[in-house]
Amino acid sequence: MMLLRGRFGRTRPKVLLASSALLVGLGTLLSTTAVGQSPAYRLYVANEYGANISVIDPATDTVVTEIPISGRPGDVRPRGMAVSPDGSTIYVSISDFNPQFETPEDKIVAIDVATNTVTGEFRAGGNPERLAINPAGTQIWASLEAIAQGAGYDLATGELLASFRVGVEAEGVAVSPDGRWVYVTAEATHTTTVIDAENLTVVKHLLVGNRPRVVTFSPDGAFAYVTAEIGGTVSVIQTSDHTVVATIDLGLDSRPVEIAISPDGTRGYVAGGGTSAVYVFDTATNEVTTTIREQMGRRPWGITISADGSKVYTANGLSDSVSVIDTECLCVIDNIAVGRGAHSIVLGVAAQ
Amino acid sequence: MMKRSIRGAVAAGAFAVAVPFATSSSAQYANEPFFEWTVVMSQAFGLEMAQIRVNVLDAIEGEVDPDLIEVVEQMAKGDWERFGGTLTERDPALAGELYEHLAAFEELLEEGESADYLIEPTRALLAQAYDLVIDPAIRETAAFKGGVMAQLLLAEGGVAEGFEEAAEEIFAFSMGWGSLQRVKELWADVQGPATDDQKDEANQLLTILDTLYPTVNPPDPFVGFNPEEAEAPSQLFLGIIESATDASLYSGRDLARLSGHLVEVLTPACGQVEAGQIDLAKESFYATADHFLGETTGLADLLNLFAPELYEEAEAIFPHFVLLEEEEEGEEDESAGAAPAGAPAAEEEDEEEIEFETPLDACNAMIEVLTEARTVLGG
Repeated sequence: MMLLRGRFGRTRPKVLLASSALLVGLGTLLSTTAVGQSPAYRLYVANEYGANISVIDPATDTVVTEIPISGRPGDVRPRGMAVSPDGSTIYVSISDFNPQFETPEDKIVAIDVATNTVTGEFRAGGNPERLAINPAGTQIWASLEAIAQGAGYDLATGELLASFRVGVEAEGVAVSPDGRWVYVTAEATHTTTVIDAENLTVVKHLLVGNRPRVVTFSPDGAFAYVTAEIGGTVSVIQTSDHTVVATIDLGLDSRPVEIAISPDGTRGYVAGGGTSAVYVFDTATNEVTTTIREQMGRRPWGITISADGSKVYTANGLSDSVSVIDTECLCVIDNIAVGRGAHSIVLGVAAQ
Repeated sequence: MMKRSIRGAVAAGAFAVAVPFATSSSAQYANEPFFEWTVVMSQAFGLEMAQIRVNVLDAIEGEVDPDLIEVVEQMAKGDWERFGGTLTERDPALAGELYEHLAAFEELLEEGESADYLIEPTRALLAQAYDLVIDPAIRETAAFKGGVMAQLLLAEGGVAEGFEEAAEEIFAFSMGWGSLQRVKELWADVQGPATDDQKDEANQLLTILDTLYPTVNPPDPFVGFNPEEAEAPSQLFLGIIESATDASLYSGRDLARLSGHLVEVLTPACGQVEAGQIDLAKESFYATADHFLGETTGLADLLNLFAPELYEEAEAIFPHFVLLEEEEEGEEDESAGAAPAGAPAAEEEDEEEIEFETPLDACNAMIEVLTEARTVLGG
């Protein structure tokens, strides 16, 4: 039997979406976490169909608040998220699938972890699906699904720095730990495009597994990992020459979406939407070592890891829940009810 | 007219192709209907779509709407061409009679008249045609039924696309509804081996699709709907169908292999072209177009990115053999429309019109395109 906690219902959202057209001092938020105070972690779950963000306290595995994103659930959808390098700000990509106005609600919004309020937003047209921030905290990159582009924005001003043609149906995006490379996946062309973030040029497009979804880098930046939903694989890309050097087979029914690498770089965790499982692989051998199925929520898509690597969290789209996995026993220890259509999950941190 | 040869060097600079160390996972499902019965699946799709159009006309309520022409116009065209050559070869009398019926629907609707009296006889003729064209040993397999469901869920005119296209062509909605009803029939046939969780999830997904398609009659006007709404449930449902039917239903999992396979499909077709059996050759071209141009494989989009000259060549060849939907004015290829900002604009190239002296030249050129595509994609 699956563990499932009660649905959130205590704290009503306090803040409506900020109406300002541009970011309000997003850059300054990057340096607001006080040094020397013990961190207060918060998990943020983008609920695609509920058009809101559930906030979880990982110390108690309870939902502490819910942040509304749009009054048009179903049409306007929060999906991919990114966290500022200091953990204090969560950025959420918002796509308008049914524009009712001349300008769709395609945008990136910023949420302050300390207050759980939306502090700013800027327009990112073309159905932004996922986001990534460079280590310096100066640029945010978005995959623009509808127009097949990868776009970089100045994080402080929201100004478009550059946009590049990538494959069709851009999906995943990640910035390398040294900030040099931006990888953007594209579902329909089965490609990953490599962008040089320093010189703002496209380096190459490379073929990866079928219908690639999410890309992430290893902590040392030596490898990037790309999940392929229809291929049922993870392509391992060597970043020194941007070539695929291995393919991890998860099975055709696995339908992998998000992927996370442990802080020590030894393990990869993949959310298998097709089998309601988490696949754990050894990054040294690129072999699947464990498949976690017992007590898992239905159709996990999002995945993230606690800062110390002791817990893995999945956002489960079909059961509207977050599964909590202990990385020592590699077993599910809790399930937390969240909003409708849990899509992605990230970890933020605020000073106490 | 010139015949253009295909260049050896296909991609350079930023568009260099990196070949993966390993292209995809080893096959996990025992069956591959789109590889085992490539042309048969396309013939079945033509027969299924014609049947669904008849069912839609039967189910739709109200007076004859001139826009219903959208539903019937492909019956004696694209649907027919997928299987007409084979049917004519096997039973010319039945083929002639069926073609007359299919064509009559369009004529009647153009004149604003009811075609109700044609519905039952056409159903019967289509059933006979199905028996003759599709080997019963194939059509009763779960893999075949899974392949048909894949087409009805994701191909043009199916469940996902019908909803997306309804904003432009209102009765595409009705075709999506009709495809969904057929998918449900087939799912009832094949769901046996699915796990309880899979059946439960399939039911949830079908409920979502039923909510999107409550009746055959489209909402009037079709506004206020997210056109992509049927895509995700259709894709997710197909994953369950793959498992239940033990069949790989995405032909594009290994694109190099697919390109090589399509060469094998078209090689005999070029022989048919040479022998003047153009109707039979067309059936292979429809099957090839499904996999080359189909959104689920992404082969055409990928070539457009890596080797645009191959893509352009193919674009010029297909209209010799298959009926393709005209692109709406203002509708542009996503990737082509996305020029880099902050990067030098692409150099203008002189557009060279690609033409072929004979259908055989076009057919052989398509084999060259696919052969080269296989190389480009690492095969």
